[in-house]
Amino acid sequence: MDEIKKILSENIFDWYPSNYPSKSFIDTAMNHVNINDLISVAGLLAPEFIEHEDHVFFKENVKTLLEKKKIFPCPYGYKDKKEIERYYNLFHLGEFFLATQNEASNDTRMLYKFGKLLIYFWRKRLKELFPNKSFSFEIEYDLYDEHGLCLTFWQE
Amino acid sequence: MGKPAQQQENISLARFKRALFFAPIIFWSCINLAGWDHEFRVSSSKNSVDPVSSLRSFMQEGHSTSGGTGHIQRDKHQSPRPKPDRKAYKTALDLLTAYRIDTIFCLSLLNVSCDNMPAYLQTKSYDKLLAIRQSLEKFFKKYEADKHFRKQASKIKQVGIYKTIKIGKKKIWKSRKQIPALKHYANHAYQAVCTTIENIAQSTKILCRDFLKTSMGETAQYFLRRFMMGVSQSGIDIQATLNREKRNGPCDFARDLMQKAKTQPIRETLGDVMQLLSRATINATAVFVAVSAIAVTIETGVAAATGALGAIAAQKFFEPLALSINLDGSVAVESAASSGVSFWQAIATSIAPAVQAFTGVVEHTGNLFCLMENRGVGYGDTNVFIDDLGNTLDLRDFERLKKIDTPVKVNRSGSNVPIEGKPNSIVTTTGGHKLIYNSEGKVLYDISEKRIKVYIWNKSTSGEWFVNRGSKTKIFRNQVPKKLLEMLEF
Repeated sequence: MDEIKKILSENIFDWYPSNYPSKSFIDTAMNHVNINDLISVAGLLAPEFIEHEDHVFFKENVKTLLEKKKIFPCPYGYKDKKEIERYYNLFHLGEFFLATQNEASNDTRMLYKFGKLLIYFWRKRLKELFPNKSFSFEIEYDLYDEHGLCLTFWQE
Repeated sequence: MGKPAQQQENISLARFKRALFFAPIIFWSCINLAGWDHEFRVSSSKNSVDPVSSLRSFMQEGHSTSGGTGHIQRDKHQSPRPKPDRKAYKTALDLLTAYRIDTIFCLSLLNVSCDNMPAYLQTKSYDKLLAIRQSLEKFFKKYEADKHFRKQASKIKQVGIYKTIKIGKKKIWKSRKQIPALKHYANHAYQAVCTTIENIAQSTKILCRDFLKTSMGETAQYFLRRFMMGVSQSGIDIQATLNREKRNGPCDFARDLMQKAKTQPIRETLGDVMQLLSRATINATAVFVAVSAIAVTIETGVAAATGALGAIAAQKFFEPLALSINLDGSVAVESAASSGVSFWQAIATSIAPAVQAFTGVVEHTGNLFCLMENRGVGYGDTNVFIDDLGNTLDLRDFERLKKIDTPVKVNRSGSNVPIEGKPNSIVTTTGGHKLIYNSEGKVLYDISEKRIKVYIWNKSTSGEWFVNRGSKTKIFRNQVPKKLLEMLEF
């Protein structure tokens, strides 16, 4: 079974708080997700990544710091490339649904799936943007100064 | 008669005992003065060895032989002076570099004598200075912890340090102990960095204290706090704003201000100034002039600029006064007879070429105040903090918040942080963070010991609230003020 099918198994429907008549992702999207939501999701799955001084960053996290030229030195004193990328590319999975939190977003299994999905699409996006580089991803609790489930990546 | 005779006897006995006590010391001293020891002797003009000369001696000789003050005399029986040990020099440099001490700094460490170090470091940016200090702190930690590193470092030539030993009340003996040269030099550099930081902080503290004495009292303090906030906020915008608007912003600002000052009380004028300061254009002008004065003081260490700052801030807004300011070579002078507007026009003309130079200085000034705050040597009892990105925090905003004792349970994945709560309250999460709710009951800050996360709320046209994300939302990264942490009971 290919990777995405493994992540998007239809068993996930059993975790959904409300039952849908059809166990089909496409049906669900057609009936419950409007076009602006869908396009926004596409933006999340294929976000902007930026290369700066041989480091690759998730642009949303470093936009202001780049403008103010404050990426380096890292405020936590990290000098290692991996540590710097790992810190700046931190993405808090649990807090992502802050304003839209519901029963599903409080389910750790769902959040973990969400993380795996992001890894799948981000890896492809990174490969497209930086074909000569390879990346490692990590999903872990309480990374750096955050409390909860987080995702991060760095160059291998 | 018998009693005085007994006293005389007692005195003699006491003298004898004292002589007995000092005899070996005198004997030992004589031996040393005769040059019978095989150590270097230090001239009696100084009691302790100057580490600066020790380093200089190393630099001149290319290796470490001993400490000294420049009056070192070599014993006749001593073997000839060894040749410079380039290998040790290179090894020291490699080791320092390998252990992440800045390369430029390594070179300066090994090539600039310690007495020049503070002056040398003062020419560098403040960020650089702090980075160096951090590197050195790491170096010492590494040095203490890493056995392999210590072994490698100890292979480098040893350097002699004299130690003064007290016998009785006099310092009469000096012994020498050997320590690895690498640690010795790094220690000197560390001391130099700390001294430099301390000097700058102290001079600015004095500057600010003098400013507060310019008979403006409470109003001046208030203005100063807001001014400090503006320093950092405006620093980055100065160049951009002036370039974008391509006009003499100071003139417009000054004209408005002078008009207002003529017709309304001082306190109200100050209120207007505060409002104006919050706009980028005004930030880039009003704050700029005052910051320049501070910057000049910091850069040159000239105490005279203190008066200029006080004069600008205190008198310029309220009454005409003869004043001369020298900004980066451009001079603007106002006589008692000239009008406020013409003064500001002169300032605007004169500062135009200096804008670029001062932009960097302003940033450093912001960092400086941030540092001072964290070190607890700030200007008076201010509650305003500025981080390295120019974000400001006024602790007085936290004073009126009500602490709720019941902790908020946040699940393990951190997904159910309550975004709404009791207005103007502080709650603790089960993860140990503090959530601050604003007057509308919306979460404003998530504070941990390492950072402050800001929730920026926006309202869509359809009236829906949403929270902004991104790099703007993390402030005070690894520099959360201690005072705030204490206030929030971390």
